[in-house]
Amino acid sequence: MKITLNQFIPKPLAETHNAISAVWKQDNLYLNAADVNLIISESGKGKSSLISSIYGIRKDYHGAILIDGHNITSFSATDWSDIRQKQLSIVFQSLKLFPEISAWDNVQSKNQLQNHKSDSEVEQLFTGLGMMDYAKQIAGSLSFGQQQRIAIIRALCQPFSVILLDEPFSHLDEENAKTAWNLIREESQQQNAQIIITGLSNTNFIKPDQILNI
Amino acid sequence: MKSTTILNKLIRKNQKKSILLLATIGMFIGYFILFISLQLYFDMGAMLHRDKDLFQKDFLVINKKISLLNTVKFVKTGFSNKEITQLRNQDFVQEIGLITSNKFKVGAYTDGNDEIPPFYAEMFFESVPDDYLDVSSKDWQWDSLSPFIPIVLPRDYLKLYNFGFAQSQNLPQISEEIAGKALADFIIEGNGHKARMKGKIVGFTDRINSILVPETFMNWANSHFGRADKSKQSSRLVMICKDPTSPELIRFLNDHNYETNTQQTKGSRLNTLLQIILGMVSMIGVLIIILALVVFVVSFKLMIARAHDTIDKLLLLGYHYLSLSKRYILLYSFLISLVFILNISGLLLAKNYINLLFNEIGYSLTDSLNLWVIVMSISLSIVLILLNSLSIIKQFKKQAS
Repeated sequence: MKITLNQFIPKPLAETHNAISAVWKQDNLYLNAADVNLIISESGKGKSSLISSIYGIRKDYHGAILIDGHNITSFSATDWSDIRQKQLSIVFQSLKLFPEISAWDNVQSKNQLQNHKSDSEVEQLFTGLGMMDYAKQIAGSLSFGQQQRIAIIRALCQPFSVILLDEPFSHLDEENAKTAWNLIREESQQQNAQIIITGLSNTNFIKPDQILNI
Repeated sequence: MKSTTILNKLIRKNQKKSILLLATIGMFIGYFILFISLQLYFDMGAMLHRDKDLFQKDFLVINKKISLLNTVKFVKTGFSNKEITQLRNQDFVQEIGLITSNKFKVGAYTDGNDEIPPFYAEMFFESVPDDYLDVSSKDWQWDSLSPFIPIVLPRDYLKLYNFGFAQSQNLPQISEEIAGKALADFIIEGNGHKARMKGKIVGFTDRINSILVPETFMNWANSHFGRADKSKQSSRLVMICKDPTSPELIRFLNDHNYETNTQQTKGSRLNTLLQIILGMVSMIGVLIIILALVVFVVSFKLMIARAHDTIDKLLLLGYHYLSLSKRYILLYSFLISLVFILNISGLLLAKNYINLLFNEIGYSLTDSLNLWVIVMSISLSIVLILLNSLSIIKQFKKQAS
């Protein structure tokens, strides 16, 4: 999967000031050109807008987003369902978990779409991130950091060519963040997929192949 | 835990069970009212038609109503050729026969003996084409060599004599056979001729309320004894009707001030009355069904709106809006199917009970539900499922795009 931005800029940014960056208003910017692509900016500079736009949620931007050469505005509901199930995974900054069901059910709500992982494989992910004891707890009752780990496990429970990570470690201590990152790297390598990750700054464990500053 | 169960758990919390239950009950009531009235309509129709075949034989005798104008002879009671043609052209008419009256003087008499004093009574004869008469006696033939005039009397006359007159006067009751054995004497006169003839009762009819003689005799007697100045118009007609329960027949007769034996058109009046009553009851059923449908559509819209955030997240996970809407459609289809099954069971129970009631008063209705009632309730269920399903899919599609 090849994600390209062409003269892309979120509308709110274009209207407030004349934004110049390595990402905005570029011709045919290949976002996932490397295995690990890090997008860095301060808060409020449009990282989440970019991720949401690529995932087809936000439509308020100038320019175009192309997936494998096709403008994403031409995708139907069926196309999006197919892409989100099989090609494009995501960890939202706002997580978007279902607070009323258990952590385990949250993960299975994704996993069972494609039956990507067996129960024991899911258990390994829970154990790896120290969440097995909380698996049966209602997601809404967990701390934000715990919920973040559930959202990461959920994102790994599907086939994907690209995984979008929007500040995925914001509420994790470094050790947990490292563990989580390793799991993500491992799964991506297994699936031969690329990572697009946003953050406030570079961290010592991510080691990106491409860095784009907004 | 299977994904279906997870999804149901997510979606079920937004269900308004009490409203859905009320809408289901309302829908069932609407169904039941509509289809029980349809079933009754079919049952009654079948019963009226069966009775008509058994007793009424589709024969009606028609005459004009007698009013003051007729009495003072401003308006003729005879049917003109134009009026007969108009009647003949009506859809409900199969054939029309004219009833011919005598245009001569006829009287019955006895010479008298020890028991019966001599008497003379003026009478009348009428005739109809043989096809219209329910008498098949071999004696119902007449030619100038016949020893007697065959006569057919209304069966009611014999009843009137046997149960009215004979009992009160201590006279013997007479069976149809005995009545047929007696010969009566008649004097026929007119046009300067006079003849004494014998008459014999050869049969009784339920169909035409008159003293009938064969048409051959009537034609001969009218030409021989008849007065030329008498009107040739028939004042009574006998009609073979395609469907005496047809409401148009009654309307036509009323519009033209014609009269017929009301007993014979009771089927028609009953049919019209039933159509009106059952039509009104069906309308109430339809109205309740529409209201229940509106409640269903609105409560599903509300349920989906309440689940807006959940549905949004599920769409983001990659669920297709059709597979999500399917869950609501399945729930709705289940409720409508439940209504359908309850309705058919209710109809069977009610029909059983109604059949018992009718049996007690001597009528039998069909045992099973009418095929049309079943076909129509299946069709209605399909239409209702389609209507709300389309509304549900539309709402999901809007949210997905």
